[in-house]
Amino acid sequence: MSLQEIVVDGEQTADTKNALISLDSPISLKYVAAGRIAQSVLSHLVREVTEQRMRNVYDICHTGDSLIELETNKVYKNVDEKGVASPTTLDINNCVRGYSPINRDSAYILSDGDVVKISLGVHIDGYTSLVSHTLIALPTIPRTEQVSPTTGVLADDICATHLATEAVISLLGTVLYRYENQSGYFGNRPVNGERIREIVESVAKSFHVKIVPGSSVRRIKRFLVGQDTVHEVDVKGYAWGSINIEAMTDDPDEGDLKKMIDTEAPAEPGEAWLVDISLCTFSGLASDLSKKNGLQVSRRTLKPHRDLKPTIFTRDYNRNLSMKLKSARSVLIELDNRKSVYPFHLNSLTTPGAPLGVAALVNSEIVAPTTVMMIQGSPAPIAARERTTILLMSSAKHIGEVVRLSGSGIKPSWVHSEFEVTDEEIIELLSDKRAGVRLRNIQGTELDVVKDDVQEMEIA
Amino acid sequence: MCCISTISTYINNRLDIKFNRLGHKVHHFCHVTLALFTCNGCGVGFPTPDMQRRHMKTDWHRYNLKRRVATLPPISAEIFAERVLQQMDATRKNEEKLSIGGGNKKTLRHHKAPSSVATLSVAGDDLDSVIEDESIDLAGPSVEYVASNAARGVDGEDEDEDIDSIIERKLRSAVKLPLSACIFCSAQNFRDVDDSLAHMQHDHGLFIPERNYLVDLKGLVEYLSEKVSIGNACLYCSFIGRSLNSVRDHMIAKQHCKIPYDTEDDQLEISNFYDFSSSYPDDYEEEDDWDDVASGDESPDDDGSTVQVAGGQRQRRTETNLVLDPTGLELSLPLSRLRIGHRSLARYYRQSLRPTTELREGQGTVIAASSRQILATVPRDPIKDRLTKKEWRDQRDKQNRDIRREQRYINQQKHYRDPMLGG
Repeated sequence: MSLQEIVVDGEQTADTKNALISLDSPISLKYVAAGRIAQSVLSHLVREVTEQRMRNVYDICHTGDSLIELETNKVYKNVDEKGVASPTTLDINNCVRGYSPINRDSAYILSDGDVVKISLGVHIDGYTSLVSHTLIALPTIPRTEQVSPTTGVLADDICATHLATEAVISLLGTVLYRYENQSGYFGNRPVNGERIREIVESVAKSFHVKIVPGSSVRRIKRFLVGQDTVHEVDVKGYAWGSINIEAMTDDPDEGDLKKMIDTEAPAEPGEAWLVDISLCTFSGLASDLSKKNGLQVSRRTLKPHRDLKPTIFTRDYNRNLSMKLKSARSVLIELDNRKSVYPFHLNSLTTPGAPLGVAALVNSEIVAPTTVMMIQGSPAPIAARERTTILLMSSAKHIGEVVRLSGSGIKPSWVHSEFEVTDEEIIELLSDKRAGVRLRNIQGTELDVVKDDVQEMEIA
Repeated sequence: MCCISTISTYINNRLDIKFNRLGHKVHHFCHVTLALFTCNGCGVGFPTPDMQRRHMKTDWHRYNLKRRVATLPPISAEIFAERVLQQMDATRKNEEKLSIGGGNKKTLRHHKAPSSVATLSVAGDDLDSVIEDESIDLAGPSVEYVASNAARGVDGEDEDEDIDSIIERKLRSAVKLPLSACIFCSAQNFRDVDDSLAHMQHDHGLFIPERNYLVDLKGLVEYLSEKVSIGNACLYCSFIGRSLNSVRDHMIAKQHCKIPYDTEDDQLEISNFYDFSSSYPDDYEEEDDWDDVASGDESPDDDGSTVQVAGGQRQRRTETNLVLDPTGLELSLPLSRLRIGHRSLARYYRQSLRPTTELREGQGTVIAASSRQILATVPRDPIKDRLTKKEWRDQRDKQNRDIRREQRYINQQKHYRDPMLGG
């Protein structure tokens, strides 16, 4: 399949807010700025973890949020809404999402060999960049002295996640180019949710891992990045389990999913997409590769943590109630005035009595909690997660390119898996040429962090 | 002419035939009368009371009475008749001279004798005119008044007169009342206006209102006297007299010797002679050089010293200046920016509305994108609605039917159940 690199016109999508014409357009610049900050903070945190400077999860999360705030405050002074789009969470081993401790004393301390998934998100004026990276918390020996790569199911997991993400990014990038075959698409088929699903599931199958419900590849818009409380109408892409992880059921063909997401609609140039793939080993799971579930982890095994209470919340703006509790009222005022539509961490609220107020708000369903989800099993399965945001940038002047806002440039953990990808298409997507897709990676900058400042600063 | 003959006949007859008290005819000579029923005012006597009574009703007698009032000796019937003749001639001549068309007068409007006078059907005024020859200076006004009356002819009782002719007549018959004369009575010997005013206040009860603010006293007095003397109008009510005397009589009799000051119109009538500007509140200024501020209540250089009332006028704030909105529903307090609303709108002021929060961009986007909102605007399918409703109705009917059917068998028990044993 040869490729004609034809200039693709800057087609405007239905949502002209996301018209990413070129890297110079103001919207693109905001995305890039957000991506840069996310990347910078992520690499900083990864370095902290790998160089064993930080072991307390609370420290890491707190640092992450503070850095994001600092960096976003430095840029775009006239923009009101900017900052943390997803509070820094550190999910360990079989924890899938949502762990960010409130206080230092009760926080988890990293131990050797933990599979750590650092997730965070940055937004400027609603233009979001979300990123996640999986790494193994190494033993106390320095990495250079690591003799051999990690192997085993852990390796399979991490490899598969990484490769799946890369493949999907390349696939989405092919939308920008016109191929010589009849339909002009890569592989003669449009790039839509179904196609994405095939690729991910193929990779998962090759590496003998399962897809964790809650993974999704979807198109995002300004302010709408798949928050729990937002029930968007026109969503493109594919989601395993459910759009809303809280409302997941066992049946992957659940009607809710079909209503919520349009898996047939193809990706188009000028869009921003969120690739969030989470795969887990199923050694501890009852091996149910039945047709019903397929490659998806059963819903029954994905459960909220027994002890850990949710610390991350999202305001549901569709509900407006007047609260009786005074602290609830003041928290609500703070949320409406200072917080945006993204999830926030409990520690970021400055009103006194915030936990009580938030609890009341959760009761009235004005605020939705992000529960800490774990995959049950014995031995506990291990999940890996990779999340990036990409822009499908098309321009009249330049040849279209995929801008990977964050998630690149960080050295993956040294793992070696015995499995490999078998599908030809996927091999082509994963090759260096990437089936002709030009990929631009936004690199992070060195953050000059003064440790004392960061630790003492309150997250605004 | 016939009247004269009638008179002479009457006189002759009466002089000739006399009746004594007992009713017997008594013959007597002409001038030696055995007058048992006399009229002292005229100096005549009558044999019968009827004749006396008839005499009392005549113009001649009346004229003699007037003469008596004017301290003149009575005249005989013949002389009276002559004078009447003269008067009629003079009137006819004058009438020819003057305008013929508009000479209709109201005759005897107010002074008409209750009983019709068969004899002299002359206007009572004409009797006055007869006195003219005597040229005695009666109360001054009467003299001139008489002159004007002479100009009037004897006319029928025409009620309608043009206003112009009325004014003309009034002007002609106007008596020049000196300033220091009393308006209401004939007293004239006052030194100046104040004296006459004092007399009027003391004797007639005339009180000048708002004396403090009166500027032009002489003008006011002149106005009032003109009103009475020229217009013959009562000061207090709407009575218009035929002459100065008549209106004077009216005012004295009805105690209308006062200046009306109750209604606004009354006050306006004599407002020219007053100056109330010293009673206005301090610092009252009409800011004429302010243009209507179209851009709301606050003007750029508004320092709160003036209040923009909805009519566009600016009024200066003062300590006592409460500015009322033209609608009457808003009061601007002095010296502050507060505006008080009227109590009739209290229920609206008491409303406590939910504060509308302005949504920020993120919130707006999220709410707009949320499917919950959009699904609500999906239109309902009327056919589907009808079908579902029909379904519900059918189901409900079926249930009702089943219940009713059951009722027939509900008491039918296959086996006997003893209540004591728990049936």
